[in-house]
Amino acid sequence: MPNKLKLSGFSELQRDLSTLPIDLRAQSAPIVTQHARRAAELLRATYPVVTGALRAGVKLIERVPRGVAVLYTVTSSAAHAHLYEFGTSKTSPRATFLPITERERRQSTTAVADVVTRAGLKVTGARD
Amino acid sequence: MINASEIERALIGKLASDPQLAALMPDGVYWDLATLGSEKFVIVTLSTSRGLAEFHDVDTFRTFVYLVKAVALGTDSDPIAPAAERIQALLDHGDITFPAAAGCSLMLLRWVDRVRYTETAAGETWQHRGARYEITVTPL
Repeated sequence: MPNKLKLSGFSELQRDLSTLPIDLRAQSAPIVTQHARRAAELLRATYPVVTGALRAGVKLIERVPRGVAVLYTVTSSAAHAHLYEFGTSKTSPRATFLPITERERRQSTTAVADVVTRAGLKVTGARD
Repeated sequence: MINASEIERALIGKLASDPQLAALMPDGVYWDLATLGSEKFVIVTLSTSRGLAEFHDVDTFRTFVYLVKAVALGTDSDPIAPAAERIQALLDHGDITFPAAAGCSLMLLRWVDRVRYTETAAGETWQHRGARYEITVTPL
């Protein structure tokens, strides 16, 4: 008996694949936005207020999207932000920016990976 | 139970017991803050940490990221550059022996990202150079 493999439904698959990134972007964008905003809010709430420069230096910038990407940049732009984070010769480091931004980025990545997984795709690799 | 204090004690012990690093940074290795008057020293501090619970909410592993930097008064690249190099040689994909009280064994010790900046205060210039290092452990 000859072997026969019949495949069908390519047009449907092609159509689904072509719309998938747009659908996933629509579902993922609010997640990324939420975590980026929360990182900025947490930083402002956590930094001490002496001159107010640390708190005022927290910026949330939405980048121009490239393709399906959703991009935000959270910065701590006070002139002494690195001295606060990493310490001086006479003061201890107070890790603030890195723990908060890394945690929010990790949670955002995990939530987006869940969206992609629910769409039937497999997500591999590190999520942080 | 994983005892993070014992992990940190072991990390500082590894750095402090190295004669090459001690020759470069003779004022010692400190957690967070050096003693007053120190001019060439190493600082270790916790940057971030996280755990991964996989089965029945039991930690499969925990990751600690430490800032480890050499700090020196002055503008010369010696001894700050060789000290940062020595720290990396000791820690990046290196080994640490934890005491039983740490309650864990080492899975991974590696360089994460570089830290370098200059501080000017009260007419003095201080250099800070090192990196963040990840220690991932698994419970015994």
